[in-house]
Amino acid sequence: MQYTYELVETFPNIFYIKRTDDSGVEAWIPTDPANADYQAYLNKDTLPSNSSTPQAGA
Amino acid sequence: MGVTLNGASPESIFTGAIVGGKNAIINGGMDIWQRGTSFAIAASTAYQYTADRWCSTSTGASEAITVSRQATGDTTNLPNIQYALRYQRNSGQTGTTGLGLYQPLETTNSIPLAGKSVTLSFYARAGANFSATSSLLGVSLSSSTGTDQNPSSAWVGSASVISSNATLTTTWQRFTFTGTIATTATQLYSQFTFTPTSTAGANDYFDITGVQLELGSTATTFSRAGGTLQGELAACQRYYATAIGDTAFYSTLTSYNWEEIYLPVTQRGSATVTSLGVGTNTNVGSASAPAYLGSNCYRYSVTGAGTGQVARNESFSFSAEL
Repeated sequence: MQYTYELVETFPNIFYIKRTDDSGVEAWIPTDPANADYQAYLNKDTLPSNSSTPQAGA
Repeated sequence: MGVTLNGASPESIFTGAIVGGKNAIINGGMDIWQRGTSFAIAASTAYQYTADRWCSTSTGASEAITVSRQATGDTTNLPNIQYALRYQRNSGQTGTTGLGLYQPLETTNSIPLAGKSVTLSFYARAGANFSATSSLLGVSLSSSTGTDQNPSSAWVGSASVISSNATLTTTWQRFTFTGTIATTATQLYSQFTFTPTSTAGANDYFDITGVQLELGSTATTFSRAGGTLQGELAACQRYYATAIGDTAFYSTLTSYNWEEIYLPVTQRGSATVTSLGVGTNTNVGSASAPAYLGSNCYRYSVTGAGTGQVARNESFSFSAEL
């Protein structure tokens, strides 16, 4: 699974990382160091591309 | 002097008891499958959550797997547990890299076990074509000195607590292993590994359930971590939950509506939010992603596409997994 990432302001001053997989499924990742997907985003250049917490059927 | 109650140690008091909090493994009875009950996992997948709290890995090439919920179906050898997890290398797959099923424990649930003797127990059986050499299922419990990590991403200060094998047959058996956790440990994960050989047949799998990690050197009667089914579901929802956002308002083109979503439990932190599908979607201009407000509450906004009634119904998943 390959992901693309985009920084999105969902509300004024509230930022999320919008993650899109190669099937077009979008997920919004909080910019919270305790969130595993945010850590994967921060380390995306060193971790396997398919490290994530996917959803049903992913 | 050790603490006793009527001559019994604290751990032995729980022998035979079905009680919340005894088992550190959440969803060890494979009861909760909020993401679905069958997962086709491609070869070369670092990890994927399947049954709640359980990660599956298949890092090798030509090694696609299927993880599914199964009824235990054996009232003789396993009479009191309804479901099991089946971990299967798909028929015809030729990869022989080790495959793994594991559960990382959150730091706050690991620290109470630091410096203690613990017992890991579980029930397992093999499929008719289980290809591991000598039908061995690898069993391990590892500690770390990190905080809330997933071992597929990072695992600092790793130390082995249990590293052994279980010899499976096609009949359910209970296996028990004991180890001592380092006093400096701040996180744990239990793992079951299967190293396949040759080309997979139609039944190259193992089934597992009743996984329990408890204090002491004796395996007691399996108990859900949450004590009851509802307690187990709530324990799982601390890490993953689904909820529906439903909004309806009259749009004047300059208006928008904020919709709050309240999760069934407060999770361990702010979650990754994914849309699971949009139902009603009438006169909607745009809808934002739900943003975390704190506690168990998320909020998103919806605007109208034109003057008139707006209605939108969308379901989301919220993952605060490790």
